Parts: sequence; structure tokens; C-alpha cells
Amino acid sequence: MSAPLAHKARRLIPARHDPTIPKRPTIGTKPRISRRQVALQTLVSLVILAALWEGFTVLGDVSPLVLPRFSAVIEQFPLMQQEGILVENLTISLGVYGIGMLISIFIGIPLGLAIGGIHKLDRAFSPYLWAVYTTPGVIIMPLILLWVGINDTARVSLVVVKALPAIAVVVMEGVKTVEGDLLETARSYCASRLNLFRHIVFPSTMPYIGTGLRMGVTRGLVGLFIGELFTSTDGIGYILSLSQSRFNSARTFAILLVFIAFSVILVGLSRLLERRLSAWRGTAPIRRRAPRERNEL
Amino acid sequence: MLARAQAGLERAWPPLAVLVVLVIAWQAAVTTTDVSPRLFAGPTAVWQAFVEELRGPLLGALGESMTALAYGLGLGIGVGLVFGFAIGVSPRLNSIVSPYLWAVFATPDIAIAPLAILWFGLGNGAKVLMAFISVVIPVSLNCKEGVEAVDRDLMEVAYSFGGRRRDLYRKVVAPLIVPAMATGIRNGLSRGFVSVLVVEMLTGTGGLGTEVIFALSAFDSAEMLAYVLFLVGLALVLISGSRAVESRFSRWRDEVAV
Repeated sequence: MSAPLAHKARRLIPARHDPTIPKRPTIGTKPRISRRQVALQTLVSLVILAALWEGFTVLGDVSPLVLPRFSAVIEQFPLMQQEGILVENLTISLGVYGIGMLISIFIGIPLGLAIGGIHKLDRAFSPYLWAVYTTPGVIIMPLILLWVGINDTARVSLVVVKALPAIAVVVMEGVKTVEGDLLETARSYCASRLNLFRHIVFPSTMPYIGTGLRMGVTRGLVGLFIGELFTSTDGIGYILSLSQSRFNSARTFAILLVFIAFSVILVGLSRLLERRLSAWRGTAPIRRRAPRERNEL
Repeated sequence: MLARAQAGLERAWPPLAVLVVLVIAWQAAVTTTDVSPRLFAGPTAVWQAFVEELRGPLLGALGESMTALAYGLGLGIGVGLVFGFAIGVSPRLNSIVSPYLWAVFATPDIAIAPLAILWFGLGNGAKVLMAFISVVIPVSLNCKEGVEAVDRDLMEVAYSFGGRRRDLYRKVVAPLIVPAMATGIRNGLSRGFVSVLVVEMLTGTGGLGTEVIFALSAFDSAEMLAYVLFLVGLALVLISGSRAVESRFSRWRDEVAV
């Protein structure tokens, strides 16, 4: 073909179908899927997963002890309801978790604010707060069992031990990032310490409180579950260890599903809360200022 | 150099002072109250127990726990990187798999411990499996986020300069996702450590967790406190070590993950 005609021929093929034009990279682009589509996709994939599970266990040669049938797991729910154990124990576990989280929040937030805000306290105590924060809860669990015993208080203590340091540490780091300029301006306008706190420090720390709450919720759940596993006199852990010892795999799976659903709901709620409290911050990650930029209250 | 040492000491003395005060208060509490040494041992008793354990089973148990953790970590990182990369690159795969990954991430790893024990029995298999699961999840999620956070402009520039798929992945994407990978590995390491301990405590199959439970059932608080403090120290070393490695690889990115 002569040059002008060849030119015309190429323009008839749209760019995305033209094999001579290489594909553009798609990494770094966020897929434009609506939230409703995501929800629908999640639902569909859950259904497919359930179908695959059922199919695999029915057709395959899997021992029901190792992987019970999906229908058997679902059957356990009305069964447990009949025996009257599900709702009752779920409420007990929720109660333990709720009390533990309330204690952690009402002590953790002021503690974080105090240690982060007052320089002397910060120098003396922040390494220990970080140490307690990074220590896994399972290590402290035997101590609590020894000193408090095997009862509800031990489980509440476990939730507190896991959640409180997380909340306190995040709030502490948040207080340190309060803008020095804002504090100086307020001081120039003769703000008292209380006013400084109420009008500048507290609102500025709100996003970190949100993040701290979210981390506290997650870790509190871990603490709850450790408590349930090791001090199972009532609550979800009780059903779990009972069904485990009786080799009732279907019930074990059912309880685990309950726990997963529980965790997902709580963590999702705490993320929503975090996003609400961080509304003015946008999606900027938590940045750490250099030590010399830290400000005293 | 003397000035630097002086500055370091100045910064370190408040927490050291607090530590000394705590130990003294501990000893005072034990000697003044009439609490049974089996319930609440003093610092000297704990130190003696620690030295005794050091000569005894402690190092062997440490080796067992760390081996299981190492296996789980290795497998978890290998699988997690590949998986996370695949999810990050393909939005379709992402929307299918993400909800499950987040569900498992939100659930405490130890919730899966009974399952692991059910499948692999009382032995090292369950430990390695738990460590693997605890490592694979954060590594994949962080790798995915790293891939998604690759700057589109950088990719466009490389593309405009004639870079094609292979070059783009090797020269733009790979260096950019290293910090995210480091964060994921750090997260995975601490979660894996905890999972191994939990399985050891639940099943009594050797390792540090089992030693703690033995001491607990013998109501020997000195030995238990010795192990607990040792584990705390170990956890601190592991986690600050991995944090240091992470910041070394994230030098150009000045965010701190809390």
C-alpha cells in the first residue's frame, strides 16, 4: 500500500485493539468500582466459597473431623440456639470485652495525653509504655492467670492489658505532633494551660485518638480471645474448648465463624469511627516529628 | 564524642532511674508484705531461677521456638510476596480476594490456633502452620498496598521513555515496594512470634511457651517470672531489630507505622 493509504488503514483500528501499540501500565491506578459493586462481589464470592466448601467436602475424601461439611457447620447454629448456649455465652463474652474496652479507653486516653504532653513524664515513662505495647499479650497471660485466677476478672484484665497500651501509645505519639505554632499563638493570646488543652491539644489529637481506638479494638479482641481460650469457664471460648474436646469439628468451625464475624464487625465499626475523627486530616499517614520539634505544654 | 556520650546518658537516665525505683519497690513489696514466694517472688529469687533455667532447658526451648518461627517466616514471606504482588497488580483478583484477606487480618491469629492443632496435631507442624498464616497475611496485605501505592506518574515517565513491562516491573515497581514489604515483614514477624508462643502454650509441645505453662502449673512464680521477663526481652529485641531493618529500607519514606 502507498503511504497515505496505509495511514488511513491504521486509523480504522481503535488504539486499544491495535497490536502494534504496547499496553499502558495499569499499576498505580485505583480501580473505579462502586461500593455497591464491591458489596455485590463480596456476596457473590461468599456464596461461591460456600458452594466450593460444600462440594469439596461432599465429593472429596475429606474426613469430617478435619473439614466438616458447610451444611453441617450451618446446622450447628439452630442446634446451639436450641441448647440455649449461643446467645447467652455470646453476651457474656461481649460483656467482658465491653467492660475491658471501657476501662482501657477511660484510662488509656488520659494516660497517653499526660505522658505525651508533659515532657518529664515522657522522658521517664515512654520507653516503658512502648515496651508494654510491643510485648505480646500471651506472655503476660500466665502472670494474670497466676495472680487473678481463672475467672471473669482475669479475662477483663487481659483485654485491658492488650488494649490500654495501644490506645495510650498512639495518643501519646499524637500529642507530640501538635503544631508548635498553634500552641505559641495561643500562648501569646494568654491561654491558660486548661484552655490550651481544651482548644488546641484535644482537637488536634482527635485523629490519633481515633486510630488509637481502632488499634485498641483490634488488640482488645485478641486479648478477649486469649482469655476465652485459656480461661474457658463461660463465654464463647467455653463452647469452643468444649466442642474441641468432644471432637465436634462442625461446632468448632461454627464458633470460629461467629468470632470472625464478630471481629470483622467491630473492627469495621472502629475504622468508621477513626475515619470520622480524622475527617480533617485526609488520608495522610501519621508522621513522626524529629525530637527537637517536640513541644512542651 | 564525649559530648555525644554525655547527651546519651542525659537522655537515658530518667527511664533507668524509673527501672531502679521499680526493682527496689518490687523487692520492698515482697519483703514487707507476707506474700508467699510461690505466688509473688522477689527480684533475687527471679534472678536465681533465671540462672538455673539458663543452665537447664531454656536455650533448648529457645532453639525450638525460633526454628519453628524461622520456617513459618520463610514460607510466609515467600508466599506472601508473590501473592501480595499478584493481588496488587490485578484489580479483579484484588476485589475477589481482598474481603477474605481483611476478614482474616481482623480476626486474631490465635483464633485459628485450634484449627491448626486439629489439622496438624500436637507437634511442630501446627507451630509452623500458625507462624505461616500469621506471616502471610500482613506480608500480602502490605505488599498489595505497596504495589497500589506505586506512583502513576513514575510509571508514565518510564513508559514514555520506552520502558516496557519487564523494565517497568524491575526498575520502577520493585524498588518502590521495598518499604511496604519491610513493614509487612516486621508485622509478620511479631505476629508469627506470638502465634508460635500461643500454640506452644496450648499444646505443650516444647519451646518457650511450654516452659512457661510448666512453671505456671507448678505454681513456681519465680521460674515463671524469669521466663516471662526473658520473653519480654526477646520480644523487644526481635521487634526493635525488625523495626531497625524496616527503617533502613524505608529511608526515603519518612512515615512511622505505629
